[in-house]
Amino acid sequence: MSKKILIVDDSKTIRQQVTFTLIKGGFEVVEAEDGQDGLAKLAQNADIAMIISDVNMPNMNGLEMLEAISKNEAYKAIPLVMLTTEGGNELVARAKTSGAKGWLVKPFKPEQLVAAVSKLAR
Amino acid sequence: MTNLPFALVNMVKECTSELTESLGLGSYAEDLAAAKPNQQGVLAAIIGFTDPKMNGSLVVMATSDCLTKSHPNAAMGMPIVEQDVADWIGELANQLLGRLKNRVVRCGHGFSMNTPTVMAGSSIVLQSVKDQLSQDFYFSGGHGPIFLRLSAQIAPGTQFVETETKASATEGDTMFF
Repeated sequence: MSKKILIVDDSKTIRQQVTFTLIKGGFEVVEAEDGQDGLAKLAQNADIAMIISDVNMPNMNGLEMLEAISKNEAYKAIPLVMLTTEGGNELVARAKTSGAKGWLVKPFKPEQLVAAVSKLAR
Repeated sequence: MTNLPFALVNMVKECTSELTESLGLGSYAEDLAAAKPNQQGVLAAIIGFTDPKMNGSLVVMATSDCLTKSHPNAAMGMPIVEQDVADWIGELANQLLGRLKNRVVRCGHGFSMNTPTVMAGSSIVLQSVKDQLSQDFYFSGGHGPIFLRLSAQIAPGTQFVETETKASATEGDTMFF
């Protein structure tokens, strides 16, 4: 059975790119358009193997979502990687402290994304 | 319109060329003879940024035709609908400002980025805002012209000198913790 990956990004373009890349890589994908939607999709899908999330999103940003996940026993073991334009020390440190497993800076290469998911998805 | 610091202007030009190359759009060079896309089917994305030392906005304008040709779905063999084109210019503005931010961080500064707003129209006119420094950029490349306007209030004495210290991660980087 394919591992199910949750992509959280307010850009439909990025969600489509990630979905296309991961389906080609043999994964199943669930999409969410902001942090709140991401938490809702986690509640609806008990078998999420990994989360890929943007940082800057409306309603709830990626770091806020990560912090909410880290406090939830049901979700905190799910590996999460940030996929973002941001590369600043403070944000990276904050994500690491909150339990993120990695940080990818856009634009991503398909093989780079598949390698990260293959490495981390549980 | 009062011009932005020269170093910041150069960063915008370099970031734009690097971004278009990395996204597979080919080489986009500054073209002072290019006209601002201002005809039917123009889209504009506006993305703001804020920090005590510098705050303002970046506007990116391009034609629907340019955005359709350059949309990642084209390379993936997937259909492109109107909403996809609007989303794409927003993402372009987001990635461009993100690149610029990583350069500004290397100068010892930084800013928070907003999420982009996209407008479509047949004749979008940008107005100058009092007390803001501003610069227009015209680029031409294989997919059609791209216009940028970076506007900002910058605290007096703010220098844009890049040092050896770099951001934790740069474009295309992967880090595992």
